[in-house]
Amino acid sequence: MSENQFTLKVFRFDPDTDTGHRYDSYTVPLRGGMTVLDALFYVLEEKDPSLAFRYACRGAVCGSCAMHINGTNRLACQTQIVTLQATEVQVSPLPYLPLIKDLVVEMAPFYQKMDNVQPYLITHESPPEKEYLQSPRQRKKLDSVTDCIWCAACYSACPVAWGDPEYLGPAALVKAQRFAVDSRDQGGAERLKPTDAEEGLWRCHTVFNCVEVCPKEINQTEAIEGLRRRTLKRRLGWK
Amino acid sequence: MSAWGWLLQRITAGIVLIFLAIHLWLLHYVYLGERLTFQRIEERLQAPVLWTAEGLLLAAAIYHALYGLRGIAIDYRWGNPRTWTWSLTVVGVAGFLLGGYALYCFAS
Amino acid sequence: MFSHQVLVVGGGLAGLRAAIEAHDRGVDVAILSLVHPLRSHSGAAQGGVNAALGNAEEGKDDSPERHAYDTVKGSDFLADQDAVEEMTNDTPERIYEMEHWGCPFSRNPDGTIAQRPFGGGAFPRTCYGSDKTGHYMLHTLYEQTIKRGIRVYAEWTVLSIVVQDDLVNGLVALHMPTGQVEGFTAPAVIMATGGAGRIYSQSTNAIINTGSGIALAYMAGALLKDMEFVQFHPTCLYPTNILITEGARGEGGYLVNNRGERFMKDYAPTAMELAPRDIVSRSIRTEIAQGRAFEDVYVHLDLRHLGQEIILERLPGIRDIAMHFAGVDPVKQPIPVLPAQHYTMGGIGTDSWGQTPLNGLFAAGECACVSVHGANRLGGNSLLETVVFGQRAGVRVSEWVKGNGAANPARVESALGASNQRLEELIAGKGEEDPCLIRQEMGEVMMEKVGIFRHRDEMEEAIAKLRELQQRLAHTRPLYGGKRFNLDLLRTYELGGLLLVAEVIAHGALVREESRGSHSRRDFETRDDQDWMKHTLAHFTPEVPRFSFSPVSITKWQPEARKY
Repeated sequence: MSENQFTLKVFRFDPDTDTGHRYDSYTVPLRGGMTVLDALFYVLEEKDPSLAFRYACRGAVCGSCAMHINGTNRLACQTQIVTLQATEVQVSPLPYLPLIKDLVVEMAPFYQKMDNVQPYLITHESPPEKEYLQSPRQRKKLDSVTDCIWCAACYSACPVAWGDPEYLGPAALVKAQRFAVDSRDQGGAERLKPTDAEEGLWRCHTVFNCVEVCPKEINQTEAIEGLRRRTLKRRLGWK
Repeated sequence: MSAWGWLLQRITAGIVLIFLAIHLWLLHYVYLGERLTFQRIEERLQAPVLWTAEGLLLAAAIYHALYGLRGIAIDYRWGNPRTWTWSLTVVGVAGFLLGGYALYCFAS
Repeated sequence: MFSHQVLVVGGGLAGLRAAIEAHDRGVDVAILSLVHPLRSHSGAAQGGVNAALGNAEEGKDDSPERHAYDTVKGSDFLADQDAVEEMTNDTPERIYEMEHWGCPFSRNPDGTIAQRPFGGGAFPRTCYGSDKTGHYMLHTLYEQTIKRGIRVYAEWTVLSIVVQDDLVNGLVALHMPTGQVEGFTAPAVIMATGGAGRIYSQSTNAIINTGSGIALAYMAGALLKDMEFVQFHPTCLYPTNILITEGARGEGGYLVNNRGERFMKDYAPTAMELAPRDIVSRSIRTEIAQGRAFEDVYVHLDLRHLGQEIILERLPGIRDIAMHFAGVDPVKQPIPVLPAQHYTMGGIGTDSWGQTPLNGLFAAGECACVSVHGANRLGGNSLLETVVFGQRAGVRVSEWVKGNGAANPARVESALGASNQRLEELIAGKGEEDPCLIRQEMGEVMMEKVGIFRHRDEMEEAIAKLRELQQRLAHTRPLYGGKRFNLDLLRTYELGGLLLVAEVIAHGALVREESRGSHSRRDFETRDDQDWMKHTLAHFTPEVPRFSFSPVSITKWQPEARKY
C-alpha cells in the first residue's frame, strides 16, 4: 500500500439482478483534501459506472450523502479520507433503512416520521403587521435544534428505531422540540400531542448514538429530555 | 402507559435505590440486641413505618423490574406490547399480593 | 400518467414558494424535483436576504426605493428598473411572511429581525439567520408544503417539457429510484431549477446545479436572457470552492494579499471589502495575476480581529466549513479564498410575474431572468428573488390555469413514447467517447476562456472547443444500462444540457462587445450605454444560438458611473 493510494471497499447490491450483497474493492489515488464523496465519484467516473449513491451540495448542508463509513454513520462529503487514518475505507448504506441500490436507501420511513410531528409553526391568532418580536435569548433556544439537515444518520444509528419501526426517532423528536421551544409557536397542548406517545418521546433509552453520529453536532438526547420535561410539566398541570 | 409509565419508572427507580439501601442496612447492620433473630425481625416489622417502607419497596421493585422487562421485550419485538402490558400487570399484581401477604403475616 | 393543474419543476426556495402560492389559490399543484426538496441548493445560501426593514440602528432611513437603487446600480444599470421596484416593494411582506411561518432569523436586542451590511448596499439591509439563512428559509418553506399536503415527486428528473402549438401540455420525467419514465399532464409548468454553475470547473454550486431546467426550457422554445452574465463569488474556500459568505466581510472581515495589504484600497477605496462581487472578484483575480497571491492561487480572508465570540455567534457555519474542508480555524488563522463561479444572472426570460412568452411556461428563481440582477447580482438579492418571484409566479400561474383549458394527455403520451425511445437509443448507442472527460474539458475551457476576464480570441477558441465537445457528446453512451438509480445515465443526459447552456453563455459573451458588471472584456474595457443598454435573448436553433435584443426598462435612474 503506497502512501498515495488507498482501498475503497464499497457495499454493492442491486435487487433487480443480485441475489445477495457483496463488497467491491477499488484502489483510489489519494488527492489532497479528498473526501469519501470524491472517492465515490472517482469510482463512478473511472472504475464502475453502475455505482449508485446520493449527492448534492458536497458541502455538508444538504444531508444527501449520509452513509456508514468505517463503522459509523457520517456524511461522505464531510469525511476526509486522511482523517479516517486507515488504508482501507469501507462504505455501506445507512443501516436499518430499506435498500434501493448500493449506497442508496429508501428514506420514506424516515421522512414519514418527520411529517408526523407537525413540523411547522402552529399559530392561531393572525400574525402581527411586522415580525413577531423574539428576543435574542428566546432565539438562542433555536440555535442547535434548527440545524438538522434530515440526513437520517441519527435515525439509522438509533437501536430503538432498529427494533421499533413505529418509533419516531431522534430527528423527528428534535424537530418537535424545535417548535416547542419557539416563542412564536402557539401550539400549546396540540404541539406536544404527536410526540407524547409510547412510540414517541417515551421510547428513547438515552443511548446517545444519535449524538455520536450527528454531522451537525446536535444534542438530540438533550432535546428529547427537554421535550419530556415540557410534556410532563403540562401533564402535571404545572405549565 | 407512555408518559405516566415512564415517569413512574423514574420514581420507582428512586424508591428502589433509597429503600433498598435502607432495607439492606437494617437487615445486616442494625442489630436489635446482641444477635439477629427471626423473632426480632418480626417484632421490628410491626412498626407501621417499617412495614409501609417494605411494602413500598416491594411495589416499586416489582413495577420497576416488570416495566424494564416490558421495555426489553418491545425492543426485541417479542410479541405484542399490549399483551406484555396485561400479562406483566397480572404477574406484578400476583407478585405484590404474595409479597404483601408475607409482609402482612409479619406485621400482624 | 400523473395529472395536475400546475407542475413546479424544482423544490428549492422558488419552487416551494410558487407551489405554496398556487395551492393557497385553490390550484392542484405538484412539485417535481431531481432531489428531495431539502437537498436543493437554496439550503447552501449563507449570508442572508435583503429587505429594507430598517431594523438596524444605521438603517432607519432605508426604503424599498433605496433598495431598488442599490440593486440597479449593482446591476450596472442593466436590470429592468420597473421589475426591481416591484421586487423591492414586495420584499417586506415576503420576509415578514417567512418570519410568520417560523423562519429563525437572528434578532436585534429589541426582538426585531437582525440585519447586517452586504456588498453594494447603502444600509445594513441583509436579514440573516446566523450564516445559515438559506438552510433556515428552505426548511421553513418545506414545512409549509408539508402542512398543506402538497404533493412532491422527489428524485424525478425531467426529460422534456411537452409543448405543442406554443402550448405547454406537461412533462416527461424519469424516476431515479426505479428507472421508470412517466408522463405528467398539466396546462402549466413553472421552472424553478436553479442555476448552471457546474458548467464551470470551479463553482460554489452544488453538484446538481447543471442548468438542466434552463436547457429544457430553451429547447422547448423559451428565450434565454442575458446568459453572458455569470457571477464569480470573491471568497470561495481553497481548494474545494465551497462558499464563504459575503457576511464574513459584512461582519468586518479583511481581504489580504501576500504582502499583508488590504488590497481593496486600490480598487474600491470607499466600500473596500464590501464593494459588489464583480469588482471584488476582479480585484482578487488581478492580485493573483500580478503575483501577490499565496502559493500563486489564493488570498486570505482574515477574520481573526473579529474575535472568537463574533465568529462563533454569527459565522459558526463558516468556521465549521473552514475547519472541515481546509483544516483552518478562522479564529486563529486566515481563510484561503479565491473567486469561483457562483450565480447565473441570466436565465429563462420572464416578465415580472414569472411568465414566459411560451403559453403555460413560467419560471422563477435563479433559472429565470426577469431581469432584476442585470449584469451583477447584489449579495442577499438571490434569496429575495426566490421568494418574491416564486410567489408572483404562483399568483400568475393560478390565474392562467383558471383561464385556460386542460392539457392534452395524448400529447404527453406521445412525448413519453419518444423519450423512452431516446433513452433506449442512448443506452444502445455505440459511442466510445468518455462523458466524464467531456464534462471536465467543458468546465476548464469555460473557466479559462469565458471566466472573469474575457477576450474575443479566447472566446472564439472556447466556442470552437464547445462545438467539438458537442460532436463528441454525440458519440457517448452510458456504460451502464441498469434501471435503478442509474447515475451514469443521468450524468450523460445532463451533459447535453450543460453543453447547450455553456454555448449560449459563450456566444452571448462574444456578442456583447462591452464591459458591464460581471462581463469584463479586455478588448472592450468600458461600458457602452449607447449600443449595449439592452438584453440579449438567445433563441434555440439546432446549430448555434440566434440572438435578438430587448430594451432595458429605465424608470427613475439614468445610468451613471459605478463607483464604490
